[in-house]
Amino acid sequence: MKPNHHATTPRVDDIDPTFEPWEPSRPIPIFLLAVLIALALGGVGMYLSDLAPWADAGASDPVASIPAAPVTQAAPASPDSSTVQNAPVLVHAGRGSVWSCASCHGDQGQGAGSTPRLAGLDETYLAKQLRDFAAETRLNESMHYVARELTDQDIAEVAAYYASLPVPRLVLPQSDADLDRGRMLFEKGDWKRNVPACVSCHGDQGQGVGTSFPPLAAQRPEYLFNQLAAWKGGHRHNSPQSLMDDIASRLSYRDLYAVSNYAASLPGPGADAAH
Amino acid sequence: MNRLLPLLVGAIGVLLLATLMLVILPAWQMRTAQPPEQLPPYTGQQLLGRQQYVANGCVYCHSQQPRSTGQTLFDSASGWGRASTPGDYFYDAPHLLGTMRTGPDLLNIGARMKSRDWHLTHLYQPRSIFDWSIMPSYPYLFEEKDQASPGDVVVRLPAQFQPSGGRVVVARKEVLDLVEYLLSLDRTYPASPEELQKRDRGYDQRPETALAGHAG
Amino acid sequence: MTPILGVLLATSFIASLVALGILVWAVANKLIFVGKAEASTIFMEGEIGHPDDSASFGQENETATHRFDVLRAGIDRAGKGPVLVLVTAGILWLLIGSTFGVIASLKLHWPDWLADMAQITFGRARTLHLNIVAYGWLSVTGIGVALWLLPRIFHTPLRRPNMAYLGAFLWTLGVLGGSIAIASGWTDGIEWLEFPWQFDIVLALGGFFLAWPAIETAARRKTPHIYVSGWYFLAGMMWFPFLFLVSNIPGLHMGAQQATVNWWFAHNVLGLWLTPMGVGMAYYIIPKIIGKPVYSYNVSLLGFWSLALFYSQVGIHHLMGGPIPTWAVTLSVVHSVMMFVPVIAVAINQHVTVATNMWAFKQSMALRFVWIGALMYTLSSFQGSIEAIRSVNSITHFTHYTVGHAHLGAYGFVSLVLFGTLYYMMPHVLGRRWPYPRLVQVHFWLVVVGFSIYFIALTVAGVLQGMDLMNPGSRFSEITRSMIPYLEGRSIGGTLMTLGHFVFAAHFAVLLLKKESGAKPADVFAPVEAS
Repeated sequence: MKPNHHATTPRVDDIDPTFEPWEPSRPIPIFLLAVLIALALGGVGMYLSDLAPWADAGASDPVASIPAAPVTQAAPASPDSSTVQNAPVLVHAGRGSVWSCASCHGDQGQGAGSTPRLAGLDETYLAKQLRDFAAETRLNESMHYVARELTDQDIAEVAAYYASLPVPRLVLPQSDADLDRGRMLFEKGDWKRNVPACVSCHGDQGQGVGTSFPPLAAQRPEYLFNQLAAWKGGHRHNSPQSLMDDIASRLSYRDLYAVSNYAASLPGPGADAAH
Repeated sequence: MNRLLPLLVGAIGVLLLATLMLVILPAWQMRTAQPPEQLPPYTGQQLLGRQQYVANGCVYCHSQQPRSTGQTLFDSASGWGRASTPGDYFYDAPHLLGTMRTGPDLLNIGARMKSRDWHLTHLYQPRSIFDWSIMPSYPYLFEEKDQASPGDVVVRLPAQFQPSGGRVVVARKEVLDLVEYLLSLDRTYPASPEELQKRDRGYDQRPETALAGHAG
Repeated sequence: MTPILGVLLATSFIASLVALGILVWAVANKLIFVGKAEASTIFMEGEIGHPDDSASFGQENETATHRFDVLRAGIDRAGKGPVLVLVTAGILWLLIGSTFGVIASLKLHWPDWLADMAQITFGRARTLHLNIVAYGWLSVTGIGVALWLLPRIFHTPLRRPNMAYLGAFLWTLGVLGGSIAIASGWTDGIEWLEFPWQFDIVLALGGFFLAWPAIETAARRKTPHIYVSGWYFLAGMMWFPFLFLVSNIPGLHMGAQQATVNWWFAHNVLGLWLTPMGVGMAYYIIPKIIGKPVYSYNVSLLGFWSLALFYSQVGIHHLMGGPIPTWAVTLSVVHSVMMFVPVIAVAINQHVTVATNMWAFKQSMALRFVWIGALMYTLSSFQGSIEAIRSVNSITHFTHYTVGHAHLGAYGFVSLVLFGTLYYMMPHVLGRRWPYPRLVQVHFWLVVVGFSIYFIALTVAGVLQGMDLMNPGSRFSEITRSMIPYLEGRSIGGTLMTLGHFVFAAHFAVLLLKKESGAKPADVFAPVEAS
């Protein structure tokens, strides 16, 4: 490429005194070249650090080593047809502005995703939760919408109905939770952090105890983690003596994730141990 | 530079390199002949509903790509589901991955909110359930009638959101299709290890740090 | 698969660096000539050292700076018609697009406002805003400026102006048709590509008829050297059609892979179409107004090629943490960070040139717009490079922060540079001065104050939102509630900006329509040599 010579000779009286027409062309500044080299090295480093470990070296990989098949419990009996026929109207049909319970919680009360299983939960516990939803001492907008329309008799009926249902089979989602850690927390707790074992209140199989300690076994894991996060985050307050508030606040979210998935994998009462 | 043709050829050449890197190679790696086993194709009605989702611009507030637990546990705690892989979008055209979370991620909404009636109430007036919600209401997907005809799906609404004079809100076909699509959004089946290799692992724990993390 | 891709990636990155290294070596060894002489090709004999801005008012040398030179007026004449049509259409699209933007913004905190109108539900109003400002205001006005600027730097009139008229007509038809389609719910559903592909064909044809005159003018230029603005405009006119075509072919792309195409397209529209227009304009206007060549023309060559090389591969940073292979995401992260190089190159040229001539900044309203725009380019690019780093992106992804960033680029940079360029350019095209200098000030302050409110609101909102979205203990209700004041702030900022646009448009209309602007005949067509 040839240089382009305009042969421009500015007239003396036109020249701005502060302008120097005979300055040499400024070369590419060293500064810019230094930036280029530094970024290039940084870029190479980024490639190496992001890509190297994932080259198929066969390294054991927490994400890839989860079981390919979902964990399910052995199937207990489904509710018999007379139970379904005798269900309160609210459960399968809804009423007025209120959607049917089953439309979210499932035909067998088994729940879905982060919507919890209701089947087989304690009657008094369920009734208390409904009253708490209505009064907004427990926060969930959809449940508040439902519960505020329920009379005392409605609450008693649906709670009794769901308590009478057998614990259904759950299809659990894939997770990369650390189930060993979850089991440790569930059975032994973490006394370095003043966290008691879940079994000390929720039963040795996580099946629930009495009216205040609901079952954790065969409960939706997304729901369990969601609630534990709510306690830790300060959004749920209706635990007796703020027990769960304190326990959840002492564990990391990763621990809460682990114990939720472990507990959910346990079989419900009346089912053969699946593994 | 003084020559036009080298400039233009060089410019296109650089873009071709970028196309190779960002379009051709990802396509080669990501596109498979077979979808995941547990992923059924959309039914006709679900596809019509998907068209409604697109036509009303739902994607501009709602993503459909839960993040991995290595990046954050927020998505899991919200019940949004496992991190998605390319296979989960096998039947999606246009893709609806989304770039905003003004509203929650919806890839697994059909796994966690299976109530058609809830969706109808929510779409007609989100603030009838969530008073803090800024989601638009979609009254034009519904019609008000003096009374429901047989076969009409009446929307359940609290008294203050019902139209006056005892009229009822009936769902139009568009919103029934849309809800069918939303209910079909369930990608909670397990992802195969091959599929998991194809998503962004840059936030996931490295094997060696994962082992170290056990103690914590 | 992954080792092959890893090798390919490493090879391409090293090849790019080697190519750049050769370029730097060639320039340093004077094999490629990009020196002061080339930088001065935008000046005619005797112009260096004299400021030139018809949008500066109130200084002693005002009449001297308002020059309507004969030679260039002759060059302008052939393209005057198409340029005016394009600029007028562009400004109309600005008004319409800004209005849809305000509607969309208001709907985010007044969700039931006009909710019965399906045509402006948020999901459509937002889409209309984006497509109309991108393909209506920015593209149309940008092409109009290009068709004015290219003949000037090539010292030869625009070729085939009638083809440009046809192109402008078709393009406008495409944007109009596409917009009506979106309002009625007919959309292709991909962000930045929502116009149904049937209307995209019209748009593409229009673009072809607009680009041909530019390229033919370049081929028949009278200057051996192509000034840097020409590289950017001409390359952009090659890049955009390629991107548009590949992305819009129906049925070719599906699923998650379509997302990579989506963001390859969308970010390259920003980087290889809008940015070249903005940078190209600034590279011409800044030295032209000041009357001196840019600081280091050598650097501009490096800046251009590194922009092309790096910017083209950043698109996947929109999908970080998503269902896309890690290598593709990392590729985009690395290239996003490498963007520091071309941005610093441009900054060295444009900012040093102005900073050593701050008298011009104080004097010239046009330069004020253009240089602030150029500063916003530097800032938004730095912000973008940082935003692509994984730890930062975890927080900003899916939040309002990204919206603020996008507007810092497309509005703070490109639109502001366009405003300044139009303020400089229109007196030259029309041969008369802007009638109401005060309105330029009003426009300036409205958009600067408005955009500052807009940007600060969304940036703060985005960081808060993002941190909450990473904290499992947050409730979605609290996140949404905490956003409301910032969304309201954005509406206030956006309304101020839109008001500024209406002021600008009104002023433009008066300039266009009022033949008598009080200019004395001696002012008009004064020969260059008079000082």
